[in-house]
Amino acid sequence: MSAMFFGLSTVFMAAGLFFAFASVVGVIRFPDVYTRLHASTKALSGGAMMILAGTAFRAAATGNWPAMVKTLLIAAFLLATNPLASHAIARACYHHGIVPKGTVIDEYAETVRGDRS
Amino acid sequence: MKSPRNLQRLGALALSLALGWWLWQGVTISPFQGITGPAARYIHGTARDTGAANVVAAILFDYRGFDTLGEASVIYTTVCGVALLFAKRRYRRSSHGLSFIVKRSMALLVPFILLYASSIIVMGHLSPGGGFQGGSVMATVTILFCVIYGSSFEAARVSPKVKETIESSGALLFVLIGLVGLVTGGAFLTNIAAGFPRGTMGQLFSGGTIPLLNIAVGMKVGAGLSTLFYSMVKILEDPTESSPPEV
Amino acid sequence: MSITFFAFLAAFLIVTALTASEARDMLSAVIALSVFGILMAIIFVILQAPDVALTQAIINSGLVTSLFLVAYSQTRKRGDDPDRENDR
Repeated sequence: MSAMFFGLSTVFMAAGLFFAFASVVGVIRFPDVYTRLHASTKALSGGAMMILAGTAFRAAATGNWPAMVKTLLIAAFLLATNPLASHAIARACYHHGIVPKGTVIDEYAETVRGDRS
Repeated sequence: MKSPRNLQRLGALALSLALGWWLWQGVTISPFQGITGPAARYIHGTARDTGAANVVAAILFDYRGFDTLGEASVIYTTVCGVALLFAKRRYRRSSHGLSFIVKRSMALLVPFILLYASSIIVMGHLSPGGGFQGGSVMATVTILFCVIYGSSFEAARVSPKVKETIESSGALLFVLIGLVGLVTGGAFLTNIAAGFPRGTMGQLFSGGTIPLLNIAVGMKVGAGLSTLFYSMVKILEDPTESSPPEV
Repeated sequence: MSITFFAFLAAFLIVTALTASEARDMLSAVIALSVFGILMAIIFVILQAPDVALTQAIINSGLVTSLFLVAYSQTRKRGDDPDRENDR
């Protein structure tokens, strides 16, 4: 049981590291604010959540149940706040006047300008 | 190129290197080789003298309680100065904030933030934390309200008058608790010797005046910092400009 | 806590401090100061001072950064057009 938890935690942490690495590559390589935001949100949503899940499994492997519950609570709060923050940043960028690069159709502008149905 | 600015930078670099070396020396020594001087007295006598489990809280609010009163008055003076500085400007409030998604989800999260702040304040004598920290967490709720819902929402929820009253009564509570020690014949801010119950170490009701002083400082710092932020942010936005869309 | 991790943190702390003091853009300096505060809080945790770390994390990354941002948006920069003065 304990060994299984230990292996699971290693798998989760490796997946989290992969997400973090991919988001770093995305932040460096993507062209404009919105795509970079898309990449950097994954660093927290994917990477940090996976690493926290791995930490929770590792705490469970050693029988430290309070630590596991605390870690899962931290993960839940990250899950609640991180999409919120990136949504607010993206919206603020749009209303600041940054045009998405290479877009053809801007439905949000049509919705904002009128015929809000 | 030997300009005075470069010399200044060289001096700053040397100072930072010296400070870094000093910090490194502090890191590499082992902390438990043997404690001497005042530290030994504080570590060994905290449970006997105050009944608090957190040595830092015991030093802040019992052994050095008068210094804490001074620190709290520094924040009071800062708030008074900022409020005076921004009082003459025209009074504006903004009522538009961020989008509906952010408003709704933050409404679900704010009670948890308040709960966390209260637990930091109330458990200040048992675990890391205390009045300053919990009060600062309380004040971040004001920042969230002002940014997300607009400052008129913040003023409608907790009016500035109420915040001023809370801050002043926090300071008053601190001084009154200190005067109890004076009345019973001890020094200002006497804790156990003035007849406050010591309680069992590790329980919520223990430590004599330390939890009460934590609550007083928490009221003071929370209300003070939120007044500070509110008086800076209330003239920020122009009400004549059209409100941004809700989507 | 390994000493290499601490050395990495200290080096990064120096980099952020230099960025905060030397950046031409005011906004970058404020963000660098916020990162500095978070790193300082981590170092306080490593040095076994959780009380100070809690204060540092809240004050420096939350309150001070937002106060700086408010002050930044309230003041006028040197390159701005002067007729913005009329609307405040």
